[in-house]
Amino acid sequence: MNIPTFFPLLSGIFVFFLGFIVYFRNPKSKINIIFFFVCLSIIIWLFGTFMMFLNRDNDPLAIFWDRFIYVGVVFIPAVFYHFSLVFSEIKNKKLLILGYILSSFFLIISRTKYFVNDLFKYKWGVHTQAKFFHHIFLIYFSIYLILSVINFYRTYRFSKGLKKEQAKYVLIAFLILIPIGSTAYLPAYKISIYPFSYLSGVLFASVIAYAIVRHRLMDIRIVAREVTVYGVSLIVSAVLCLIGLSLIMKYVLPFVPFSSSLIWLMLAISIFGIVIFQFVKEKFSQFANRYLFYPLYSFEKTIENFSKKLSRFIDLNHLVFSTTDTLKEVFKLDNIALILRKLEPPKGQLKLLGIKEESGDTFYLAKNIGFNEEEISLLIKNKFLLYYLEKNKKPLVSDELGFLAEEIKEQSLKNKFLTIKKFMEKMKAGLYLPLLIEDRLVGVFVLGKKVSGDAYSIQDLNLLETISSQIAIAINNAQLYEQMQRFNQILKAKVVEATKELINAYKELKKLDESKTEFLSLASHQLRTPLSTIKGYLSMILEGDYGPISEEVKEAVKTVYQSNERLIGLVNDLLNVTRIEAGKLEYNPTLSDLEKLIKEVTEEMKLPAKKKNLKIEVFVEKLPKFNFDPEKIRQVLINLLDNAIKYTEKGKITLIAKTQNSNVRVEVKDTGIGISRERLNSLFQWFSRGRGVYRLESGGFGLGLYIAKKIIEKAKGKIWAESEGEGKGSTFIFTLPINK
Amino acid sequence: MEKNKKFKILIAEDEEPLLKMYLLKFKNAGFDAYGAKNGEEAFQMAKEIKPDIILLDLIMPMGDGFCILKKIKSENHLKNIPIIVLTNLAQDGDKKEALELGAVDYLVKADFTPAQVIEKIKEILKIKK
Repeated sequence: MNIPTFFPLLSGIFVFFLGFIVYFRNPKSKINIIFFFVCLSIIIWLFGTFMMFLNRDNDPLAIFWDRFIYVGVVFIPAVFYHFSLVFSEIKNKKLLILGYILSSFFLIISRTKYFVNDLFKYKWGVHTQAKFFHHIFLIYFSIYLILSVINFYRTYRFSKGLKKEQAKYVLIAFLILIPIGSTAYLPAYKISIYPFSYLSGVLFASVIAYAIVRHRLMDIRIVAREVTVYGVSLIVSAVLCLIGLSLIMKYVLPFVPFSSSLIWLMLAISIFGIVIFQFVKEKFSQFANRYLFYPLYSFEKTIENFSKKLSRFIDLNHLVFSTTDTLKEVFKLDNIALILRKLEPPKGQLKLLGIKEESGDTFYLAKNIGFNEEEISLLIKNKFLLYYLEKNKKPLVSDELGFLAEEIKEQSLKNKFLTIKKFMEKMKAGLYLPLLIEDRLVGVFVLGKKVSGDAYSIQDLNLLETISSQIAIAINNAQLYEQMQRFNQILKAKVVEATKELINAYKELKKLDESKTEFLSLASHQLRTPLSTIKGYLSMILEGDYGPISEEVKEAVKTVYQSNERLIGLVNDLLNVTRIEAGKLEYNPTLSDLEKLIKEVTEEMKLPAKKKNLKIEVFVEKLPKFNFDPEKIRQVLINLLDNAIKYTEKGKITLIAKTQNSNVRVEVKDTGIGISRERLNSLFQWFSRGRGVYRLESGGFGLGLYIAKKIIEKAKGKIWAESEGEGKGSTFIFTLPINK
Repeated sequence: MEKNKKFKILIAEDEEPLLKMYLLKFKNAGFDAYGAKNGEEAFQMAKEIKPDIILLDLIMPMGDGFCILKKIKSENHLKNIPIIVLTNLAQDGDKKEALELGAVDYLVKADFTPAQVIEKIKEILKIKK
């Protein structure tokens, strides 16, 4: 056994894993199925060769394994051609069917001595010798493989973007496999050659795997990884087993008789191999996941995690941190940045709050991990890039920018793309992910290249597209929230400012109000002084302090006295209203005798009543002493009686006072002009006098009832008026709670 | 109190016609009436004549009514003399303050005739009618 014996085995293992995993990862895909058959035919060739090499000294067995090889090899032209059609999306059924017919024909012929026979043993291996039909087969083989290569080349030549790149690698893979692999035919024609042709499988699998990883060929990126893991693990396990086996053969076998124990030994080695394989696979998988490629993520789980995180934060800073961090983790990135568009404030809102609108770029760098900030700021200024992302709405992958540029015919536009490409390469950006709300670009995620060197897969792009809209909404909400909070703070400051102004204004007003009250108080004092002088002297003249006077003079003096009294009343009313309006009406209840007060007041009022020939009748029940302000209630009684006298031309005035539940009820009833229903409610307002009253009396401001109402309200009582209508008299009633 | 005793009344009033008027009325009513035209004079006279009752205006030159009220109430030999505030200031606050300072009553001049004031004085001095 020499090393080249293992070449076909090694290649076979690689192709085996590649083919099977491509198939099982997506058994429904036509291209994956065909690729599986491509691999299968290669595997049969390689495995058969390995077995043939092992049995180079056993002629019948060597011939048997060579015939086994041709089971796969005869189908190579048909399946390769088939794969080229499917990959290139070309239809050529006739040639394809013909290929399969020819392959089937050669399958049958290959079982006969007219295809291969006799062995050719050379330094590094063994091969059967080609016979007549083999020559014909080679013609068929060459034509179909050339046709296949032409198909790949045409795909490469005429397709664009990613497909072109994929076609390039497929073409390379087949251009390696076909010429190198074909040298395996040389020993059939007695040409001895080192069997490097069998290593073509390894190269073929590697190139295809690279295209899968870098250029999303067949979109089973995962496959390349598994091929790597399984392939490497298997090789390591095999090497370990072989070392074990050779040690056993060298040191143990010479002492053990060739018997069934050898079988047990082989079995033990096999079990050891399986165990070793599991162990190596696990360890290598861990190593590879850490250093060769980023761990696999679950699409649904990642989206779910994102949704959770996005719903958890409303604060912009947290959100920016959380999203960049998560993306960095998921894709195993060193560099990531987030550019956000400044939120445009609703029109007029800033102006309304007196804030100067900020000018400058509408985009800003919200977060940067690992990128050069100067380069990012150049990115923000690249209006074309931002415009393109907004219009295209899809992630822009740096690997694809070159293809994109190639597709564009207009030179200036092409240059713009090439500039972006250069720029992305310079800043080592792998992908730009636009964040959009409706059709408006609100931000861009700049993702670096994966640490593993892997390209962004379709799954990655789908994931990014799915979460980008969620991120955009969350960020927009957070920005709105932030703006709202900012406005809130500004509003608060404004409110504080306004409150200060209000407080100052209030203080000013209060000062003014105090001045006004002081002025009115002083003015009424000044008014009262001459009035009280007049009152005093007149009363003394009437009382005879200045000697006897005639009845005529007495009548005249009395009239002057009454007018003076009215003037005093007016001044008092004015002062009272001022106090009420200033909220300074005081009501000081003391334990007082209402019965006595009523008698005093009615006695006082009898004089003006008598002048109009009116009678005042008083019916007062025995009333308890209770707490009230006698001066204020006196004022109320005077006002009510004064009104009754004023608005009554004939008849009488009746005052009734009695207890009612826990109140005292006082009624002042007259037989005067009465009050219309509409006027009843407005009677107690400022300057409200009954309609038509000006015909009877013009004195007074009409403040009496207003003041009375305010006093009674202060005493927690009630006051109202009742009347059957105009000309039917009126009754004014008030109640006071009996507070003891 | 003796029925025939002449009570001394001190009236502090800066308004001359009013002062004359009250003096006449009180004399006619049988009182020994004295008048003072300002606060300081009122205080001095109170010390000299020791009146039975004082009628005190609030707005006066040379010591307003509140000051004089305080001063009199702080003199041991004067503090028991009843003082009626007789003024044309009708603010509740003023009345409250005067009563707190020790005035026995608070009358608004415009609301009372001199005869009514005498009734009040008699009530306070407990003179039988």
